[in-house]
Order: sequence, then structure tokens, then C-alpha cells
Amino acid sequence: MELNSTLEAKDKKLGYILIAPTLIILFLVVIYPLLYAFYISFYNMNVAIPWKGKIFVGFDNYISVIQDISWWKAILRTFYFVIADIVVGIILGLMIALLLNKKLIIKSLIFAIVLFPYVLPPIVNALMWKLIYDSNYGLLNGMLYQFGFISDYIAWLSKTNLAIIMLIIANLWQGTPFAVILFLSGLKSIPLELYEAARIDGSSSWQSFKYITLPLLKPIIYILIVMKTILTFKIFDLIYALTGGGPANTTQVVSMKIYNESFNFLKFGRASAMSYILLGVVTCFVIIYMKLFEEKKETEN
Amino acid sequence: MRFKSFVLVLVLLVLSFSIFMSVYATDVELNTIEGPGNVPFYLSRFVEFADKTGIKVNLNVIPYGRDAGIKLIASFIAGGEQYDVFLIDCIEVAQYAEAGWVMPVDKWITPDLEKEIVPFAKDGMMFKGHWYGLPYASEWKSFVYNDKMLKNADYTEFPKTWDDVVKYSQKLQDSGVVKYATAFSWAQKESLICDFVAIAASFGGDFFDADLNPLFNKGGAVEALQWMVDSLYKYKIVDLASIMWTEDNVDAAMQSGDIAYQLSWGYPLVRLNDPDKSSILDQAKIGLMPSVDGKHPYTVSGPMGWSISKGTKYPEEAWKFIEFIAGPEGSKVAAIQAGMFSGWKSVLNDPEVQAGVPGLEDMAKQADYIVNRPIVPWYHEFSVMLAEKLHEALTLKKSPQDALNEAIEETLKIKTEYEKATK
Repeated sequence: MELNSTLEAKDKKLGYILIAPTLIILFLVVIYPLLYAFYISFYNMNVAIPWKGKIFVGFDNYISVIQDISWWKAILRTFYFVIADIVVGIILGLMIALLLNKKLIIKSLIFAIVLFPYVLPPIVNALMWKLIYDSNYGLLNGMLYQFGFISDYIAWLSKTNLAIIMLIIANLWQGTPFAVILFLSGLKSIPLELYEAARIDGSSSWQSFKYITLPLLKPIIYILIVMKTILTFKIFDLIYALTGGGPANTTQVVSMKIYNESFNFLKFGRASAMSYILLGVVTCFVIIYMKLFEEKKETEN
Repeated sequence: MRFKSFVLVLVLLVLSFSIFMSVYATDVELNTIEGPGNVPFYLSRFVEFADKTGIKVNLNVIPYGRDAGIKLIASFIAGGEQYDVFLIDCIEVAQYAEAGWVMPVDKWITPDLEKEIVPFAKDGMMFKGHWYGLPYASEWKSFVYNDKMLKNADYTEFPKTWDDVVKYSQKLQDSGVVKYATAFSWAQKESLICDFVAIAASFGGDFFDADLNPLFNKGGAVEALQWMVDSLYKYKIVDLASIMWTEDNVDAAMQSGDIAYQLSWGYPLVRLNDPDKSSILDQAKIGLMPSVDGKHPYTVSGPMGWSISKGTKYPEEAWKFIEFIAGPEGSKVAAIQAGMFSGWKSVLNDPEVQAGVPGLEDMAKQADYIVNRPIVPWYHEFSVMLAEKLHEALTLKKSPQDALNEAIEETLKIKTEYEKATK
């Protein structure tokens, strides 16, 4: 018994030694920067004025950001992006997953094609869409013109009312496969007997979908809503590569604003405050979702 | 127990090897960072420098040149050792000098160098009386036109006034020579500021006064912005894609023969006559910048140079490098092989350069009509703000006057805030 506990203790010690390098790196690369960013959010810290050093300003950075109208405009733009991504992304993901759940001859090939965008690095995706949207040589203009949908080429990313929609499309193209994977796994876990029983009772396809498929996929829908909110709120690569926040700030989402504050204006204190306010906003959304989903679940139970 | 010993021995070996390498690696190596333009040229010059001096120069290439600034600043904050030498833009000199990131090179500047340098190139490398590098691409934006296209539309001269530009453009478009006569780099970035400064000056507008008070919400500057808006929506002679284009996109459009004129940095005819890059060989020429009355062909300057990081461990070697690549001899090679505009008088007057750089004689006529952007430490914040306001006018969200009035207010706030923060 004593020998066993000694061996166990030794195993535990070895385990700690082996994971120590990972923990140290995690601390240095994730935890420490997070804590340091929180710390400097209470300071006026402009790295281009190093001789002044950090000046403690308390909550001034937070107040200044909250009073900045351009900040809230960026939040609203990002929120618009998020809603579009959630609504369209989930519907599209579900539709594709339902199709892939059928018996198809070339299902594997279709699945590989559907998944392809998801494996691309975000910046590659952005540059690819930049070429597609090119006003003179882009594929989109070429196709629409050839099929007679447009009479002249359109400068998609130069129009203030279109630029953000084109970005949403580019983001959906890459993000939808993730929803497809989750929905597909959810569909595979639904017992076929339920559909059998429904068919015997005379239910139509739509009724089966409405009363069996959809309710059983709700947990996946909730997960997707939360994850898409978190991921889309911090979208950056696509915006940076395609529009840089233009035209006229119509695609300036909150991450671009933070980027400008830190890397163009070099005001790291204020940029850190922006980051933590963003964290607060996203956390609020997540808490609201969780509460809504819990209430819904209780009602259904 | 055995495994523990093994892990301990492995860690000791790795540590010893690292210490050995750092102690015994005595060869001097300089590090620098740049965008993708001119990489083959740089690499060949670095090899020549290494052969001549034994000093190796390592180049870190990033996708977009202006992003080097972020990496450089990160390295400066960390001590400035990561990059020893770097390309500096005139709009960065003031900020980097104030922050103590760039090394003054006064002690190496000889009277001969001072006499040799072109005045606006010197202004680009100096701040508060100190030199912060040697000029490398001492350029301005030239007006480049496709002579063959103009002749196809029965024009024998380039347009001298902005009204001529409209008239010529409309005829070029109506006769099917081009879809759009021109395009500009009007993305919401620094490229837009450069074009605005040039066009505003050609309309007789002022940017800042001697005390750095902004003046661009009156007179010629407002008219210039109004012309820019009209060129897009009223006259329709500028490709609407210009709103999202930077200089590279405009260069590509000119090289492909899609547009008849452009504003271009450096020696544009070196690029436009390169069969690997251009489909309009020997068709392009350089003219003076159009202006409101044909008599004020002002353009914007954008001198860049090579500088030394304050934190470098090898200042002498770094100076040797920048003297090699950006001094008069190096500048001559860069002019002929890479189309870099020299900031040295002897190079500009060199017959070999004049023969090797097409259009240089025409470009030199522009030299008397150049304006600079303000050399102030708060330039970046000002530039981002002004680009936003100009874009609001270019996308019809605001009138030019309203956009510039707001820009003035914001400029004064930025200036005041900086002065307060640095007191």
C-alpha cells in the first residue's frame, strides 16, 4: 500500500515536471499579457513618449472610451456583422448538413469541398476574396456581367452600403463549414426510430423537421450562437486585408479600432481599456444567451 | 530515476549549446525588415556589401511595407536590438527621433555630404537640427501619362490644368480608348493624404502654416477636395475603385494599359518600360503636375532614407551599411537598377543615371514645385483621422467643407493633446 502511494506520488511529480514547460509558456504568452494589459488600462501609456513613462489615470481611459461615439459606432457595426453571421451562418450550415445527411453517391467529395474553406488560413481567405471582388478583373463582376445580372462592373468594396455585406459573405464562406460539421454530428445522433414513428403517424417531412430535428438540434444551435458571437466580435484579418476599415469607416469594426489605437496611435493604455470593455460586452452577451437558453430549457422541461 | 537523469542531461546539453553559440558567434550580422518590393535588388546589394566588408545583412520580408513600422516599434520598445538598420519615411522621423528610437548620425556627416544633398531630401532626414539617416528614395509624385493613348485621342501634349484633365479624360473615354482615364490611390490610408496634399497644393491651397496651425479647410484645399469628389461622381473620369486602391493598384492599372494617366512615386518609367511588368512599353511619359491655372504644378514629396536603430549593438557597422546603400555611390546603383529617386545632386546630374533612367530630365522640372507633409511627432494619429474625414467626403457622406472643418477641429485636438502630454 505504502509502495503504491509512493509510486503514485512519484508519477504525479513527474507529471508536473513534464507539463511545467507548457504551463510556463501559457503563463508567459497568455496569462501575463492579459494581466499586464489590465494593469496598463489604468495608465496613460503612450509608447511614443517614453520619457513620460506610465501615468496613473484610474478609470479615465475607460470613461474616455465609453464617451467616444466612434467606439459605439464600431460596436454597432460589429454587432451587425455578428447578427448576420449567426442568422445566415446557422441557416446555411443547417441546410448543407441536411443535404450531406442524405445518401449521396459523391457525398465524400461534396463534404471535402464544403470543408475546404474552413482549413484555409484567414489571411489567405481574405486575399482570395480581394481578388474575387476586384472591380476590374474580379470573378464576381465577370460572372454577374456574363449572366446579365449587372450591366456594368461594380466596385464592391468602394461602396459604403455594400462593403460590409461583401465582408460578411467572405466571412460566412469560411465560417459556415464549422456549423456544418456540428450540425452533421448532431443529425447523426438523432435516433432514426423517431423519424420511423413519425412517418407511421403520417407526419410530413416538414413536420418531422419541425418537431423532431430542430428541437434535438437546439443545443448545437445554442453553442453555435455563443461561439459565433465570440469569434465574430473579434474578427480582424478579413477587415484588415480587404478594406482596412474603409470606405469611410463603414467596415471599421471594434478590433480595427483597437488596432489603430495601439499600433497607429501607440496609446497602449487606452487600447487596453478598449480591449477590456470589449471583453465585458462579449461576456454580457454570453451571459444573456446562457440565461435565455436556461429559461427556454426549463420551459421545455 | 533514470528518466529524470536523462531529462536533466538533455536540458544541460541544450543550455550549454546555446551559451556556446552566443559566446562564440563573433561575426557581425545586421538585421533589417522590409516589404516585398525590390527584394531581389536588396539581396544582391547585401551580398555585395558582405563581400566588401565581411558584414552580413539579414532581410526579414513582410507582405506590406508599411507594416514594417509596427514591427519596428515593437522592437524599439524591447530595446531596439532586433533590427539594426531600417528604411524610415519622412513622416516617421519626428516621432522616432522624439521617442529616442533612431540614432542621430551627425558625427558621420561630412561637409561634402551636406553640400551634395538635395534640400528637400535633407529636410526629410532631419529633425530639430539633427540628421537621422541618409536619403534613399527621395521622391515625389510625378504626373505620368500614356502618350500613345493621348495621341489616339488627337492630343499632342499632356494636360496642364485640371480642366484639361477633365476634357482630355472625357474624350479618351468617349472614344473608347479607356474605360476610365485615370485612377488614384484614395484608400483610407496615408496614400490618400499624399494625393490630397499634392492636389491641394496645385489648387493653391495650404496644408499647415509655419507654426503648424492647420489651414486646409479654406481656399484651394476645399476646392481640391471638391474636384476629387467631382472627378468620381460628376465627371466620372476616375475609376471608383480608387476609393479602395493604394499605389500598387494604380501602378498595376497603368502597367496594364487600363488608365491613361497616374501619379507615381520614384522613377515610374523604369517600371513602365520593364517588359516583365508592363504592357505599355515606351508609351508613357512624364509631365508636370496639372494645376488649377497651369502655373502652379505642385506635387507632394515623400523622401525616405536608411536609418540606424538607437539600440543597435553595431553602430559603426550600421553606418557603413547605410553609407554603402544610400550614400551617393549606392544611390546611383539604386537609381539605375531599382528606380529609386536619388537625394544626391551628383547622382541626379550623372549622365549614366540620366541615360539609365528614362524620363529623368522631365521629372527634374518638377523639382521646383514640391510641398512636404508636416514633420511632427503626432503625424500618424493626424493622418489616420484625416484619411477618415477625406473618405467621408469622397463617399458623399459629408460635403468637402464639412469634412475639412471637422478635420481641422480634430487636428487641433490631437496637437493640443500631444503638447499637453509631453509638457
